[in-house]
Amino acid sequence: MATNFDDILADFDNQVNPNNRLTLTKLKRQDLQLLQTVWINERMAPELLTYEHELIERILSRLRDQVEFIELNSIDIQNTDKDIKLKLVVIESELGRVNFLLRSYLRTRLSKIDRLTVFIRTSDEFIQRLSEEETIYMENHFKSLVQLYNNLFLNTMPEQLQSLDDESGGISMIEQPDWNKPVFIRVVNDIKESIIVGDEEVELEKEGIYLLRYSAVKNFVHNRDVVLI
Amino acid sequence: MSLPNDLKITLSPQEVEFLTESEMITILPRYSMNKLELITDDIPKLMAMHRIQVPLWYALILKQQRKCSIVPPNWLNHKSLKEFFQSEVTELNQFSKLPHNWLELSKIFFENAADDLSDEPAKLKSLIQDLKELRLIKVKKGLSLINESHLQLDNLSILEINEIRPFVVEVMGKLTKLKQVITNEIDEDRLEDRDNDDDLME
Amino acid sequence: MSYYDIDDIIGDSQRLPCKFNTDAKGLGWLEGNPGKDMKSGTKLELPFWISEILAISTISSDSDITFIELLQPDALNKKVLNAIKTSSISLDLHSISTNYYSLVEKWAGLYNDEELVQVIGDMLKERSDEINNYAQNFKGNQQESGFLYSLDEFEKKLYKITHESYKNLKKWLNNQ
Repeated sequence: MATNFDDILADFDNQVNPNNRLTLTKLKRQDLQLLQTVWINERMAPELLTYEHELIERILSRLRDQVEFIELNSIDIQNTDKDIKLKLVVIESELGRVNFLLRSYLRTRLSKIDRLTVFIRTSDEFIQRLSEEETIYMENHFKSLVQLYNNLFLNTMPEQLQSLDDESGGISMIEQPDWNKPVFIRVVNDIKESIIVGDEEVELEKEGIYLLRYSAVKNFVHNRDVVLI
Repeated sequence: MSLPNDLKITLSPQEVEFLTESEMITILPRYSMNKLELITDDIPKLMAMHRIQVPLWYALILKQQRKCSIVPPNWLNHKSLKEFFQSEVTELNQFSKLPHNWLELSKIFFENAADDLSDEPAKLKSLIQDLKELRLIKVKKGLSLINESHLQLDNLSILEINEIRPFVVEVMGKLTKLKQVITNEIDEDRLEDRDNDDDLME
Repeated sequence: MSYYDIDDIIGDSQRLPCKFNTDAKGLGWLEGNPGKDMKSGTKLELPFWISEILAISTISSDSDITFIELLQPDALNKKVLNAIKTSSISLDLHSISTNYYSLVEKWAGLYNDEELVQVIGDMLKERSDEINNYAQNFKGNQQESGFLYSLDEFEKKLYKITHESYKNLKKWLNNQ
């Protein structure tokens, strides 16, 4: 039995379209799952992965609604909902958890962007992987860094030694992702073809956990047939 | 720095615990409460004494306020853990199928919901510890098979992986690097569309 | 090798024995004769970053003779390699070379020395296993510190991150 107006509305809603609410709940859970996956993938992958634009947008929009809910209900102490205090505790805890995930995801990306700036700037493919804000950050950071280097010491060097992206002389100044870094993966989808790692052919069994070099499974990470763990 | 150095090579145990707190668990509410819409889930209406599945972090808030009991997973009891231990002993070449979060979840129970366990927590705790030690011995034995190619470690939990991650990644990485100095490998990054860069190593 | 990697930079400054194939004007100071020339045939040690270039550059475009010839470093001679093969764990690698693995990588890379890579790969497997044991059970006793002093820089770093990881998990398990 519905006990308050909201419940009556909700019950009505469910009667009209019982799948509606369920689908939204499912989507929310999927989004959380996905955010956790892309967070760990980003943490473990040596390269910068594609920014999850739509996912982050969906979560941020729900997050804004939730913050609004808190503001409305915190002011209204005379709220008729007897559970409002507990509800606010729960809502704020969840907010803290989502906040943590988003922050750690973004910080992980920033740390890679900082380290791989010169490399990213040479590749259209990688520039495409950044969000608009990340691109702005990278360009500003790079500009300040070049300015700092110049003022500190590069200006006093002969001109041919002033660049930051020299690739001659046996060693490139452009730091690349460590493509051969070993990573732990879990296989989530069937992978038909076997892969070659070193001199060995490896069959990736579904649900199997492997440790192998990133370059061998890079494409499977991109299309999420395997997840990094 | 945007990310502390130690977090660049591994996850912290707290982060692994965080992931487990997102997973669903069954509770028995002692309290009724209307549904609750969240960012990453919707909690259906709670009805006293009706079992329901909720995210673990949520269950822990209710538990703290004595508004529910948490139903232990079917493996977190004396009998099951004994069986798992037995299978670890008899099957020396593989890990028993403990759930991927057995260490975190059992720790969370011992600390927050010990009264919901059907067996004596201290005994369960020592069984968990025995399992942990035995499995680590097996992990280390397995690591002696390490080469520059790959290692398969099915049924190892995330926290157990995390414990050995810095070590194995560094050793395997070095073996790979050693092997590479004597093979004229073409840089992967120069050949964007190739799946891997080792075809030339035969 | 990565441009900004401090370990690579240090590895690159390791000295290798080499022999001059030509007279070098005004370089006598390298062997303690400032103002003098250096005679062809002189043996001395040069950092890897310069000896590598001199060992592959010819003295003139129409000559096959390179400026210097690299000599096998003691750290890679038969005696040491035999010691590695027989008892790698008890070996004091640090006293042989503080950056042993990086020396091996550079040398094996130059001479495509597969056997060397094989021997050192096996050594790494054996020694890392021992490092893992020590890292898991830190006791602080004498035998332990003896072992730790025998590690080269790569192994030390390996020990450190391995120990750190075990420690972090223990701390978390014990709620510290």
